[in-house]
Amino acid sequence: MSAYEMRSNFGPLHVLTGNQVRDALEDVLQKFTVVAPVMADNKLVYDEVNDVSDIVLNDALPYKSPKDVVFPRVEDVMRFLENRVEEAQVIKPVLLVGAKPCDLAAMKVLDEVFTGEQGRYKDSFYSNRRDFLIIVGMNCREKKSGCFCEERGINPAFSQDCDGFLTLQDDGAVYEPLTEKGADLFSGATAASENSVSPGEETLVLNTSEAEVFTAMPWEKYAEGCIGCGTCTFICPTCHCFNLRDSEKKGIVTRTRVWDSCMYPKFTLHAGGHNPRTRKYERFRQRVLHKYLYIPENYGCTACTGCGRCIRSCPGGLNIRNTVLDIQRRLAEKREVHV
Amino acid sequence: MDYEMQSRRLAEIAAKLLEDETVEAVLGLRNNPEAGWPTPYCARTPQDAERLVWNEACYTNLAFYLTEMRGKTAIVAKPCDVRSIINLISENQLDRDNFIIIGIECEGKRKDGKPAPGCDACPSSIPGFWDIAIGADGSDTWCDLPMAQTGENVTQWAKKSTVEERFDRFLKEINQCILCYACRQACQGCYCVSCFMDRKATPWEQIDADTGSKIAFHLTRAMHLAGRCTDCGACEKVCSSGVNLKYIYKGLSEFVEETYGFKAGVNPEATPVMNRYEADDPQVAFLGGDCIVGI
Amino acid sequence: MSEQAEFINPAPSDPSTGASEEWTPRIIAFLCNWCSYAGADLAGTSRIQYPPSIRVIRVPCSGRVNPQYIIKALADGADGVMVSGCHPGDCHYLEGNYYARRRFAVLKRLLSLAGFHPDRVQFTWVSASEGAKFAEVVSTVTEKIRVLGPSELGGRDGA
Repeated sequence: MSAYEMRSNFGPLHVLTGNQVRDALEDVLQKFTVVAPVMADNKLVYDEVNDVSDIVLNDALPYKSPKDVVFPRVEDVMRFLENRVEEAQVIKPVLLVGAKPCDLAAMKVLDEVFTGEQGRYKDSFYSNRRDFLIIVGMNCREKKSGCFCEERGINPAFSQDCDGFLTLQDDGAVYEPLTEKGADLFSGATAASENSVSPGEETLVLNTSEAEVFTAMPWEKYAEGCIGCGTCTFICPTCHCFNLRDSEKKGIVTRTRVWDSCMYPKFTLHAGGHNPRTRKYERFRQRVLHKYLYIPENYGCTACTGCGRCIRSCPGGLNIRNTVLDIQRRLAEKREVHV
Repeated sequence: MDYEMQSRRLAEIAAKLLEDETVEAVLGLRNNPEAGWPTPYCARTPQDAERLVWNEACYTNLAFYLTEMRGKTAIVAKPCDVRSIINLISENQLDRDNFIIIGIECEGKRKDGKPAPGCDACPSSIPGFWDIAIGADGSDTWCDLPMAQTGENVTQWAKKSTVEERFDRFLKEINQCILCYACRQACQGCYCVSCFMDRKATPWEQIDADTGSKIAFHLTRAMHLAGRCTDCGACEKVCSSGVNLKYIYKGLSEFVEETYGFKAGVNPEATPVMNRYEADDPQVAFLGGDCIVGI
Repeated sequence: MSEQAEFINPAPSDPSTGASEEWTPRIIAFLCNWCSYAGADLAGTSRIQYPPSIRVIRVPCSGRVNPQYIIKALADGADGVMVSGCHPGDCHYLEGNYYARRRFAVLKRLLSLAGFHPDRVQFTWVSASEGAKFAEVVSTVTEKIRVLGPSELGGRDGA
């Protein structure tokens, strides 16, 4: 089955002029809570939109990932009342517009982890939000410094991991519905599909085992500049570690889920006082290997999409891409020697 | 400013220090095209030294890294780094015998096309003390460049503004905060092994990410930095959410200087201002006091 | 960004913030064990009346009052905070209140900068023999805070 046949089930392409894009956005704004890239204090972020004119659809990549649409930074998940327990409910449909292919790929990783397509653990709070989420993806025509999505096998021009895809052109855009949910969001002059899906080749991967890299690599050198701020994990589209906290107010105990970061020294602190990862290189090693080794082992996909956010934001200049490249190089050298 | 000459001389000095084995490492900055600005770099061999650079985007405060170094180190330090180092020495966090300061003249750095946070209020282009000097022209003498010093005077602003305006400004900044603690991590003064925000021993210390917690974090941090902030701007430089709360720290520094005559980062022998008292300290904060504190 | 998840039943409202006849501020009072707490005791045994607006927390010394306590009280919605210790020179631990004096001056400037009304935080010296002064101080502080109205953060969760 070719990609074209698969996609055509949900209607033809829509060719929109710039004005039509705006009208269509105006239209969806009436029906949904819309989350889209907006400027906030000179930074582009994904945020809830109230006015169409605030939406910024261009080639810039928002500096934070859209993951908090489905996995909020702070979320009350349940409450303990006097004689019963209540779980949180989500009832509001949300439309995410303008997610770039790298962020769409990241959403797929989160889906894999939280909704357990492979029959693993299913996180009801995540999947509740995910069920109510409609995603309209958008192409990305500009490679920013630190971007390496193509090395991660992601095509910045098109992605199928969404409900509809908006391809920006110099004058207007082309909208392509990909699922039933995205079938009639944008409408314009119809045309036949010509996009061809060409998923690239993943070149930045670690084909190795933990035993081979855990102590043999110069992790201390890689992590020299780390200050342990955790910014990389907070802006990362796939980082998903969280902590649960109970707090009591007026007799009601609320359980809250908040993001956590493996880059904090206290992340692995045990109740007994032991801490298995006290040094910063151990924490950086965890982050790299989690993305490139442990998630691939457990879920079959690499949890780094090459968006480059951590590279651009790290105050210490740590670089996950260069680290993986260096490991690849060292492994190749080692294997050559063995042969 | 002659950045090229400064870079060249810096590389020469660093290479020599490493070659002579006077130091084991030179802490500086290197070009990092992926990140988009020069990032911290530790040169350990004379060949490494060539990678050290000095340009107008070298705004990172390296004092924090110095506390982590083992063995004798040379640090490339501009005036704000030296202020931070002095503060750390006065608090017994650094041993002066363990490092060499390569003082480097600086007329202010730029970040995203604007003066970097803190640079607009910097009083001098010359570091407070140094072992090896690199002047603005790359020579070993200081040029003593005129400083713009256009930074806002927080006390004056506060006296002119209303309570509501001050609260709005504070809340506007707080609301962008995601409590990632990057400001704490980058700060020279925040070296506690166990930060109050990481202690979750008692229920009242519990930290969520609501407004109250953000207020508690930022105000307590400001309180801990009173009389210790060296106005290097590292907190604002690393913030990925664009929270600009340096004015609070600066306002406190101004207050401490005006009330107790103490300035952080000037004298490494001085006892930190909050660790001592005078029997005749002003009663400004107290009921019936003249309340100049209250603005 | 994303809105909080909702629960089926709304949280029960706080009875104390309902339709009350007259609003009384909720003030957290940190009292030094050796002077001000005894002063409060004396006010009580002497049957001196003062507004029932303070919630007393006894501390060993005004120097023990971590600024974090005060900030936390305000951040959690207290209408005001009052700290009272021994007069300068009378500290049971000789110098605790001297350190506290510097700390409070800086804290008060800090709170002003952040837009909390300076009157929300009050520091005083009350000795063990000053029962009448204690009552007067509480009345003055309560009145100052009553004028300001409920805390800007009071609606958050009612401390």
